[in-house]
Amino acid sequence: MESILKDQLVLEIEALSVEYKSRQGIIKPVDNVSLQIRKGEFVGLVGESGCGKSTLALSIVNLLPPNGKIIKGKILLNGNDLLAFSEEEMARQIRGKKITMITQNPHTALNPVFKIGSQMKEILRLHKNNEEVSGKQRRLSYSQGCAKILEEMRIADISRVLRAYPHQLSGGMKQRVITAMAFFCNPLLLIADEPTTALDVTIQAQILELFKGLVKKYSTSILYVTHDLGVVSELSRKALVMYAGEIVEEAKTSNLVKNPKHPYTEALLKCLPSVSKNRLKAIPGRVPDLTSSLEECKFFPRCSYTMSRCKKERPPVLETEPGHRVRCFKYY
Amino acid sequence: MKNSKNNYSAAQRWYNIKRRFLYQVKKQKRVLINIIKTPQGIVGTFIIAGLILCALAGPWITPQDPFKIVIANRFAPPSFKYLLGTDFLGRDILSRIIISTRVVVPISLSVIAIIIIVGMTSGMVAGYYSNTIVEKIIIWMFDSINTFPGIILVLTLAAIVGSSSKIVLILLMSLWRFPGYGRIVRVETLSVKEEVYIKAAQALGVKEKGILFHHIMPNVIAPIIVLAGMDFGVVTMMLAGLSFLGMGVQPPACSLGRMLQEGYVYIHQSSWMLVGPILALSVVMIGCSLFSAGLRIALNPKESFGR
Amino acid sequence: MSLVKLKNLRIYFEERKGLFGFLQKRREIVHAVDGISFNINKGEILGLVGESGCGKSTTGMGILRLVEPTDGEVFFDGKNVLKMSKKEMYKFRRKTQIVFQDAVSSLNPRKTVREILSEPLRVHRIEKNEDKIEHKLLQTLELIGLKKEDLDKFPSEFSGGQIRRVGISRALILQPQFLVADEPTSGLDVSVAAGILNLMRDLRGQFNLTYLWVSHNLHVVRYISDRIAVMYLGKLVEIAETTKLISNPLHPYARALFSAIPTVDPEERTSRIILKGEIPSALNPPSGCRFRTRCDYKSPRCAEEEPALIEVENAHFVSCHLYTR
Repeated sequence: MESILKDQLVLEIEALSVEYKSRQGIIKPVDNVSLQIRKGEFVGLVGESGCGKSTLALSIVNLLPPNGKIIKGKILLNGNDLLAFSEEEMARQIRGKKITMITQNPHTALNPVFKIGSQMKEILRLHKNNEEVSGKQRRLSYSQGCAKILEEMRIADISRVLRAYPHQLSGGMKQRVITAMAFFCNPLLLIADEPTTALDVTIQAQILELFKGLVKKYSTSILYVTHDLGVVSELSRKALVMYAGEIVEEAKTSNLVKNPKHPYTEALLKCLPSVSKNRLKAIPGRVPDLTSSLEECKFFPRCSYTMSRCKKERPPVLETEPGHRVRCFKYY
Repeated sequence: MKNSKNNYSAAQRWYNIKRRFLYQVKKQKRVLINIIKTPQGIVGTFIIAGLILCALAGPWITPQDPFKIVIANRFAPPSFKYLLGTDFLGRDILSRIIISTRVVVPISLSVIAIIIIVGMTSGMVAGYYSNTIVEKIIIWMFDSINTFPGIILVLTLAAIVGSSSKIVLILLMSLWRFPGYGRIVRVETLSVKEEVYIKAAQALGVKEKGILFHHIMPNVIAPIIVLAGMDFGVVTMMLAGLSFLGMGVQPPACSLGRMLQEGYVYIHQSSWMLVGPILALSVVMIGCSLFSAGLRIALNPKESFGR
Repeated sequence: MSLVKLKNLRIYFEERKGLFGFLQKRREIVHAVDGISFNINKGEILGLVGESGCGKSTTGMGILRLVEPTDGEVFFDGKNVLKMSKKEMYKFRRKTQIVFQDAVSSLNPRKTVREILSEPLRVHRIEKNEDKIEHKLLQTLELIGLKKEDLDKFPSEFSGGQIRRVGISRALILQPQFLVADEPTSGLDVSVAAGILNLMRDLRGQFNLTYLWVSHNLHVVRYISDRIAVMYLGKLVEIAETTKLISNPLHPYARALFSAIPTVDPEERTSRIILKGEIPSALNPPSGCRFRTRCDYKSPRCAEEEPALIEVENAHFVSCHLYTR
């Protein structure tokens, strides 16, 4: 792939829809989602549980479970259509190399029966295999490569970590190792699915600082999926809010927080104890069942600004200001 | 705010107890329905129900009189009148099998009931009071009984004690089986004991007896119920074995084992005498296996197709 | 007027690792709670914060004697909890309750909601008549926002937020005086958590309850607590009124903790203090002040002497050598 200039689109998703077949019917966790990520951009994807953000993340690298399918849309990485890639090509060229992923639970992401060192070297073997160099020299270069990247993760005792089994390390340490493995091949895009939810606040702060530094150094784009608006507003330049499979608002993070346009975003901010000093305003009702395919705005049953139109059609995306997009009839 | 028990009349207390009992039954309704949903469950239930029906309605559904001796017709092969043939005294085998359930089924059911109660209680006590002398004694009891192979244990004890009365038979076979249940329940109790809801019950002030019987018991009973289903067949087999050796049910009471023995003695005159009892025992075993398989699926919500 | 008083509470656990653990002569002792003292006044919400492994959950359980403390004293309404007889404990349990962190596991999966909620009433003989119990249950359901049909369902049929509500209502159905809330909103969506927070706040006002709010979510604790106590590795490092503690945390750990929370409001963001290293193991805590391995302000005294909890200003206590004379 050709190298790209700054400000170029690394990831472009157009009208993506994903369907799951389940006992209850057909679920649509991703419904007509479009987003763009530029080089070196830190994008936050915010949503509560059941909104489909994890499914969206998985579908970018085509790691959906067997009953899930991408039924519509395009995913372009650097202009190349990822959906046209075969499974083999995805595994060899994209996953772990161009797009890497970090998941929520550091404790289950590492294989418990192998040492950290072996697991890291396995990645090098898969992606940076240099056949011309002799075996011994290759092993040496692998070890050096591992040590170097762990150093970047600000890990103090590198040799101990390399020789350890996953259960001997703490959660924060494991997450750092996993991040190291994610940055090994200098990916274009890192997808982080709630990487710090399971960690303590001070460790989370360490990891977030780490991410900031890495973005600056490697110009990697990061898609940070979370439910924590606080994290998103601290780190990301752009934020997207997801509800029931749709992106309902997209804006520069500071604008989103100061001036939320979609009723859901507004309601979400009012729920936070950090924001509201007085009584919190809980959102009435429940997250809609993702199987419904009614032609109405998905937030309609819980919205406090409804008009008659909201019940009849799904609102399209509107750009109220440059860079600030909403899916709501209020701005029509 | 404490109301003393004396404020409520006996009638009111009975009403309360009845209501709670019915509620428990209502809770189990779903499980029963789930059993019928599986193919194994249907066949198994059918067989077991048939068995119990025979035991209850015995004398009225026999095609012939099971005790009527017709020497002229001895060793007859199966015919329209005598569906499984006749034995060495000319008695209809099928009728005898049906009537034998009247003896066999109550014995097996009593054994199952006893081993569930005793096994579960001892297992729960051992598990809940782990690392105490009580547990050590109970485990020692389990292990001592289990070291003897089943048949040897039962036969030896039967020979010593004299197994003419039914109660002795029931107690012997219960003794043989209950440690298995106790061990399973003990292991389950050890893990259930650490669960948060047990702590929650303690936080509410529930006393030890309440915790054991209201909280631990419903959660440890599932595996042994399934085992009990199987054991019904196993105990029936053992009873037949004892009767075969002359140590179980005594004549004139009719039992499957006795019929087997008679068939064995007269095997040269008629091999048909054996077919009946063997078929009956097989049906019982198969029915029990299927039933307990259905029960296992019904009790384990992840395996069933329902909710 | 303090409802709950802790004096030098110590809770140690023994760990014997390995296949032949019982052969090991040296027993490994986890100092989960190592000498905690504080008071909780009637009607107040005391927030207990700290990171995983600091012993806050264990403290909550120890106060209610769900875990047997190794040493120290706990007073409830003047009486020593650790020396209570069975009968007194029975009465104690009626007045104190706990909402567990793992709400799903705290409900017996084989019991329906009706049985779960009516059990406290039965155990403490508040109502014995089935009809009266039913009436009370329906009242409670209304309070927590569930329907009549939900009474006969099993816990597995509910969502996380609803299960939490059942747990909360089970704790409150006895109208206790004191409630230990162990991470009541963790793992819940923001909108659901907001509902729970409102509920707990309302109930406190309605029934004049006293809470010990144990959590690692500093936003929530800041929002709901009157006072906050900070724990680190089994020790209490700072305790003060909420506004005072947030605006002026004195202990280096508290300072780092409060600066580490990601906030939405950009004006609140102070420069972040990033701590070095990891939390030491509770099996072998550092000598002297436990925080010294990660502290930027350590002195030689910190390794030798454990700092005592000192009142620096009105009702603001710290345990740090920066403030000891």
